[in-house]
Amino acid sequence: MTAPEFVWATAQYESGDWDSASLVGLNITDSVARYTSIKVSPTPAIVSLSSPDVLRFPFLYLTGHLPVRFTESERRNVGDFVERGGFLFVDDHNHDIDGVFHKTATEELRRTCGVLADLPNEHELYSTVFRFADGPPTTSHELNGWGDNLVHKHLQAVVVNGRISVLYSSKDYSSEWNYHPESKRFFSIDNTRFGVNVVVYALTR
Amino acid sequence: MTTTQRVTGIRLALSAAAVIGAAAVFFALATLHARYGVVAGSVAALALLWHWRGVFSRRRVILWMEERLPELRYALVALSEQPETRFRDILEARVRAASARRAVTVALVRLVAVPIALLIVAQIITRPLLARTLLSPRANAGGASPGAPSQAFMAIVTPPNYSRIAADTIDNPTSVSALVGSDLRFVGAWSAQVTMPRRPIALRLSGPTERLVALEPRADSAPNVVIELPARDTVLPSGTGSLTLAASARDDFGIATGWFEMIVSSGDGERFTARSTAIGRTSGGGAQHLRLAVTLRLDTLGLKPGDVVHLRAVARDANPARDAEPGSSETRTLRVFRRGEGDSLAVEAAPPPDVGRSELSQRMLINMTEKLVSDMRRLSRSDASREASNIAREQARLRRRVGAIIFTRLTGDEPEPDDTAGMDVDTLPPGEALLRAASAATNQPDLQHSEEAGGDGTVIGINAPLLEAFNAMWEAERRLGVVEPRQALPHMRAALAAIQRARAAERLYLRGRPPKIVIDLARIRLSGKRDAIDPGERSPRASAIAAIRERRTRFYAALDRLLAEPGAGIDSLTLLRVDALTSAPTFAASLGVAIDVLRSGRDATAALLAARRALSGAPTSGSYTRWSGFE
Amino acid sequence: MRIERILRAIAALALTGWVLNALRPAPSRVAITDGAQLAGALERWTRADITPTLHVRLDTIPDAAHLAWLAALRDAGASVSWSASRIPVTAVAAYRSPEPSGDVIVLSTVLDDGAPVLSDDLGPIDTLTGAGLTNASHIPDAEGDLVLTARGQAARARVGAATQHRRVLVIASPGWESKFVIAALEERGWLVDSRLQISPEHVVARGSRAPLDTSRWSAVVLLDSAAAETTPGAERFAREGGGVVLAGDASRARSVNALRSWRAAERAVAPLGTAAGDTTWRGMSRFPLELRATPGAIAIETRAGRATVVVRRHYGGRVAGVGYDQTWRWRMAGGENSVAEHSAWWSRIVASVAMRSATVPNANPGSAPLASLYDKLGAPAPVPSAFAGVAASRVLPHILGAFLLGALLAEWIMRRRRGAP
Repeated sequence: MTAPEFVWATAQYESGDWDSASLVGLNITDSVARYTSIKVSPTPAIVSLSSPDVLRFPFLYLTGHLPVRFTESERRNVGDFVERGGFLFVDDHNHDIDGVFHKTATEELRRTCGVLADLPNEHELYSTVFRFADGPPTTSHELNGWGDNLVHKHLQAVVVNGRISVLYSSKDYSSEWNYHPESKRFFSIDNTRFGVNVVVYALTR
Repeated sequence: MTTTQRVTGIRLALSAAAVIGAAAVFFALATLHARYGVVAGSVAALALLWHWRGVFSRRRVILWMEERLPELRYALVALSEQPETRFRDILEARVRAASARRAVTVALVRLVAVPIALLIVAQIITRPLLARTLLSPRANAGGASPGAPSQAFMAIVTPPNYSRIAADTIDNPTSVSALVGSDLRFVGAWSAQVTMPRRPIALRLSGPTERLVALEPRADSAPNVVIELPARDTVLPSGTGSLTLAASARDDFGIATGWFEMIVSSGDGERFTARSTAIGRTSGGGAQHLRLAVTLRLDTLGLKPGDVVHLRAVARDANPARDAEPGSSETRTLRVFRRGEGDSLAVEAAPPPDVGRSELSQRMLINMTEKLVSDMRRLSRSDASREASNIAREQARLRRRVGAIIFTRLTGDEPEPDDTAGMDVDTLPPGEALLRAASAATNQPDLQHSEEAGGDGTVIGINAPLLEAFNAMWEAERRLGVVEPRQALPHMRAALAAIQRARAAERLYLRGRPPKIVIDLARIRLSGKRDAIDPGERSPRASAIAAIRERRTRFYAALDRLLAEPGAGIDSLTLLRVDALTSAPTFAASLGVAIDVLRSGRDATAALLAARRALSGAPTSGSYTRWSGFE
Repeated sequence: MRIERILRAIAALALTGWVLNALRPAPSRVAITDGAQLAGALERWTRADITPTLHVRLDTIPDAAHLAWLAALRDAGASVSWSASRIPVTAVAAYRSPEPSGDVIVLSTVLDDGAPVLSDDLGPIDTLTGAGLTNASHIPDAEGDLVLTARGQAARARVGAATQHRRVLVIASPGWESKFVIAALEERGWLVDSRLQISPEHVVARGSRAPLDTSRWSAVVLLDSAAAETTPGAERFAREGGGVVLAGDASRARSVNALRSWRAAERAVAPLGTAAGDTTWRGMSRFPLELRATPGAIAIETRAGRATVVVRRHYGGRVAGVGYDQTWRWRMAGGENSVAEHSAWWSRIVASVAMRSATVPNANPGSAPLASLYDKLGAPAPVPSAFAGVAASRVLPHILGAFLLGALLAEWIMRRRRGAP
């Protein structure tokens, strides 16, 4: 018997509402299964950042609305995770660069993982599976003027050895993708396709 | 003072001056050469002492005084030869009338001044440090090659004012390590003035020849802040009352100010608002340690049920740089209780969960076992056996309870007696047997592999420690059964630690568990529209080996250059060191030692070998294999 | 009178012996020297006008030049022998690791009580502590020749040039194992092409998609059964000299039956509580590879007495079977050095099978001084008897002369005492 290769793991941190987008993992896992033959676990996982178990999930998704302030053990584990080749996908559920999540999360990531820089829109992340010629796809929250009322042109990333180790989004994919997978059939174009790119990038680069 | 005492005093003064003078001559010559200087100095000092031997003789001193002071008219000689003469008073009066001060002073100066002057000249010749204080930098600027130790050159490092560190000088510097923003002044053969940059650089100094100095900036570390009160996250029953906040901060140089920072978040679901505020701002006055304490009146925050206060202590040092980071403590989360949350929140008043009860019981069993261990000598064999059996029975009961918790979590149902009856504990570890039982009860074939497969976060977060506790209890029970309480204790403690871990993992599920939806992979697999898929090419990853190889090439090239042209070789090593300071700090450090040794003109083989080892790594030993390439 | 006659007879015999001795062919001279004085002795012996019998008492083995000198004297007709009471036995060979890092692998044999030192042109590199019969050391770098010195006796080895590799191709389904194996190899300097099949029609690739070919790739790594089943030509690739690594499920795939000399046993999962850094598991699972009776198959890693990494030759190429399928867990959760250890381990596996360039011959792989001594001068011999030679060559004429003169003088005195003329 071979273990499932990919498990969507949501990072559980002490300071905030880590489970604010509980259906995202399920939805993106569903999309990965619909478009690819990659072995996936049918149920996403939740892993505490303060537990060494984070090192058993090379893909971590972290979101929320509230401040992100890592404890010492969380900071240590996230540092180890990134150093050993893990992929941390952080999304601001507030969609607000003046919001507390953005301010505190970027501060923590800078201290723990390194400097976040704008990711060029020609980066291979945008052509790993589907092509996104204009960079990261916009979300309905951006277009509706919620949050900071901005359409963010770039994602940000910490790049180590030419590989994204931390991907940071202010676009609120957490709201965009937080629905039951079966609801995809109501969309003319599946809005989770970029999520497939993110997962396949993490698995192949 | 009698005449005798006066003569004795003069004799002693002259003798001391002669010894000092001879010693000065000895040291002057000894300074000039390590071996021959000592010999020449000894000979010269002895010759001088022989030449001046008269000062040690009372009679010669008296005659010398008679010669210098004609007005004595042999009174001293007469008194020394016939102390009890009847003309004693007259002679004494004559001696008292004569002043020997000037003559003695001139003699003392002659004995001491010339040798001391000689010593100073010798020091000037051999000690650049003294030379620098006496000679202008220009006076000895030319001629020497870079790396010659006698070149007068130094760096004066003045740290930024806020650090309150005194200025320091470094002789003949190869590299200068100082706080960012320090003022660096180079004087001597090469002169320049720069401010310590943020990144390491090689500073090129122009003088008689070009010289490189590595500048190694040291970043000012942010203050270390520890929050003491509140000691842990908590749930407030309401947004009223007051809380005592306390923290302490330490800094390497001095703290300018400290405060408590709060973010109050309100809302739920998708709608949140947040506001930040700071209280208890305290001036540190530049002290290295600061205590922060303030009483927080919760009413002033206007808290509503469900609001969350994120509280941390922050301290800033006196570093005026705009990007200097403040230090901050861990964050404490204070949540105002909201009606209806009781089911999913860890409220202190609530009864402990099942796992918590297990912990209490396990702790009690440990206490009982420890007591049994201490009483073992006094107890008879049968009493000890009975007591151990009792504890083992309690341990078994507790293990079954933990097993039931695991079973319930895995299967969603309470275990029936039949579920665990068939546990094949004779052939399997007890934890595996339990998993198999749960697997059989739910027809989930993967359960026994959940640890390895990582398929379900809940299983991993909670059940793994509980399973560990289950296994440890089993082992403890077995040991107690054979009356080995001392051997049982480590397993009992391991079980307690595992239960505590499980409890810590549970504490995090403040908002309850996410909905459990399982994707039907077989149904949806490859059902999406794949015509838009157009995967791009994977880009290669940078190799760490390439960077090491490049450094190695530069290192060997610098060594070759070192043989042909030492100054250029040292410069190449300096540049290599500057480039390695951030990417290979260990190599840079050992290379710095080698450069210092080279600049001092000593044999640098050992230092260069150490640098090479730091660059490439230490040899490792393996063993022969029958397959080359796999030693 | 009678005595006088006897004396005259003695004188005549001595004269005869002296003449006969002078007429004899020149006797050989025995010369014995210690190893420390060998250099000077060789010079003297070479200039000597007689053919000597030479013997050297050694405490260390002479260097190559002196050994050649002794051999030349022997070839010129001298009898050369040697003996030694206690001599360090050293042998050293070195070659570049077949990995891109180009580490130097030093194979050494030392039989000595002291601490032999390994050095290169720059200086000492390492002391071989606990040196036994055989050692293999990985040295990150060496400048010039490597010298193993034990009690003043040096064994020398020249390090060959670094091996030039072609690219490595990794074929797998996308997953953590493939991601981290590629990362491991690229970190260690391998140029890695990859084909990761994300759907039946699509591949995330790097490099050429041509069929397997030794002109492009030196090794191919198949990480799962799907990769093995969908990659034709692995057997031909190995036959032509390429290296094939069959890892995980690929080691039991039917399509590579011709390459396998093992049977993959059932997969075992590490017991609960096993640390991720435990290299007896290398990632929480393993399956032993049971060797068949195929000649040439070697287990290079065993766990619990069962092979987990197996290698064999297949015509011109090499094949490795790897009985692990989740080494990424070891890398991620195995502790502080796990990334480096994981990279190094995978790099060695691939290096041990990758096709090597035949254009870098190692002309002087190493030296074994004792073997050279035996080769040049033969087995040790006892010290030859010095007395016979000395008497024959130098003292006998003087003894005979003394007898001659003594006998004549005594005969003359006796004659004078009795008044005879």
